[in-house]
Amino acid sequence: MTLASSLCVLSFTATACGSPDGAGAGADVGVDVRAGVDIGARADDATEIVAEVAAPPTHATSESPGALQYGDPITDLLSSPAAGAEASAPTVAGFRAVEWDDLIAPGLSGEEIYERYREQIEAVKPGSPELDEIYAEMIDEYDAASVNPDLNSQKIQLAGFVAPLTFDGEKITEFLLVPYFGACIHVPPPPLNQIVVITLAEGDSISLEDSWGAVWVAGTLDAGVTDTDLATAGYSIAGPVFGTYATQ
Amino acid sequence: MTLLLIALKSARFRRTSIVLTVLAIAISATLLLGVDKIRKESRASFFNTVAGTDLIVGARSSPTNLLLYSVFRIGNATNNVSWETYESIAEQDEVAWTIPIALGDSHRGFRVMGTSTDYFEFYRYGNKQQLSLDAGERFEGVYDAVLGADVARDLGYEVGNEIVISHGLTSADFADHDDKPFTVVGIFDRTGTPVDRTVHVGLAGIEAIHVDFRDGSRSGVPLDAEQALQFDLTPTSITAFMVGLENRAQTFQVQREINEFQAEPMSAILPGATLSEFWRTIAPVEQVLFVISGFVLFAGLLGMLTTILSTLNERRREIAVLRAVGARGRHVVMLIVLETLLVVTAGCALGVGMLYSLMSLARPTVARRFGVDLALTWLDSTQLGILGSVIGAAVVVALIPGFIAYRRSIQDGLALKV
Repeated sequence: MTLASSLCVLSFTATACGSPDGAGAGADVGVDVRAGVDIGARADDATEIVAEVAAPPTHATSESPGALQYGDPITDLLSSPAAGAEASAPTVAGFRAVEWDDLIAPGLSGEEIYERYREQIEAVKPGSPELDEIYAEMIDEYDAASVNPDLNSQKIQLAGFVAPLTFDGEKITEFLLVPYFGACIHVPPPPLNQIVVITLAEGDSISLEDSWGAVWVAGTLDAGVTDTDLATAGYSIAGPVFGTYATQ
Repeated sequence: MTLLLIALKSARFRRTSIVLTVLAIAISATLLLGVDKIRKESRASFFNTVAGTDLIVGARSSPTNLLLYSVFRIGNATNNVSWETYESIAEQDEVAWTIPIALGDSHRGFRVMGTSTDYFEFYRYGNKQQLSLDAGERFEGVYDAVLGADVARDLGYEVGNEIVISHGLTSADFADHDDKPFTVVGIFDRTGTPVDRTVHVGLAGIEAIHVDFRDGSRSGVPLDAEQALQFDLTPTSITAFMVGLENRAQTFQVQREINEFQAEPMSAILPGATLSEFWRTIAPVEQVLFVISGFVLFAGLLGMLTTILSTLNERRREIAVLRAVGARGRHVVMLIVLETLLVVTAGCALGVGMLYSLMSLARPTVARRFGVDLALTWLDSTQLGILGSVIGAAVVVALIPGFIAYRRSIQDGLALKV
């Protein structure tokens, strides 16, 4: 593992986690209650919410796909008015709004790993082989990408970008929800605990145009931890309530 | 009703200008509908072609290029993937199944694809549909071939026919593998995807026809079909392969592993995401086309307005007579609007007719060259909306000459000075 690639991964960690002042920063970031949206909705009311929320942003997102750059993290879009995006999504009652940081197992976020290694890093000379070794250890710890077992079976709401998997006609029915734009093209790809496989309910779909902007998803998170087999680990949500973000 | 009759009878005397206006409207309607149709059909064709494949792997190249040549048979591969590499990836725990693809040969303009029987098992298209056979069975022998529906239809093949595969993508005689003919053992049902235009054979078959090839051309020692079977027909390389994963959450991890594979530079892509990305780059072109056809419609409507305005002078007497026999002012306006409505409706009808005849004419060529199947389906709601707004816009435009005619009919009376 070279120094350059180590830094690359670490810098990704930083952008994916967004706010520099730590993990707890924005539990309420970007999720505003929009006037006129039925807040008392349950998951059964999915289609109505989708209709209400998805309709207005359709044009906004399709007209300005160029505004997003590869690697843009969702946190930027949701928290910075400077990016020209004032995002809004309804809080769906009964679902806890979570951040991408929360999906990382406790103690294994980029910052937390860095904190633990900080003294060691400061003790060695920059560019020395010892530093490379320390980075390699950090990367290994980070790459394990353990899922957060506390979130298993929790009803959560999460915002992110779409990497389409399955189409019905030109509509997307299954996709990977990822924390930054263009994750499928941009390298390195997000780690296992920064991806949620979303399978929409029968009859639900997201249009191609809408998939080029940010979306929010509310549903029951399956962390895949029921089985001890590593091959099943990974987040997924089936049949969620969802909508697109208005980017004005 | 009387008004309609009057409008029709009056129109008869201005046949030429009306026919020309109808044509102008028809052309703009055809353009508008055509752009919408092509946009939808090309999207549907592309997005229906791969389903259930998590990754497509080929030699290092751009994601779009890899997707286009491996799935849509458009363009060519930058390089091959060695068989050892393919096997080592296929054996990984995360990988549920793989479909190898070997391209490079053709049969009378249709591409030949070498693959394994896993293709019949795992390849999915549309809404995760499996390939089904219309006739015959899967290939098993080295010289067996299964045809796509269009190949069989266009070339009139049936199960039991013998076909000769050409080396490369030309049908020049000198490059025929005519010493090793294949037997058609099966024909797929129509899928509306590039599968319809592909000849499928086993990887061993591809290997066998190239046994006596060295450095890309035929060596001095020709070997016939039987002799070729004596050789080890395990391929040395393939063009690309599709991968299905055990756990889709690991898509990115496996993609990364393949991209960083030390022994050989390869690219792994998520077909859906690449397709979406590809379309995102094309979207502005779609919009430009739509805007251009909008302008064509605008020009058509302007032309119509000009025609009506210029004929108003000739019709002064006609309108004055109508007023004299008791037609009210609103009747005059209605007459003009009704005439426009007739012209535009006729134009739209003709436009739809032109669209469908053009589509049925262009369908085989478009399918072969661009892999897009222009299905002759009835107009959908957007397209009906387009026609509706064309007619609506025309009626609004017609109110201008209608009002002018009404004003004049008051001023002129019967005392017309010629």
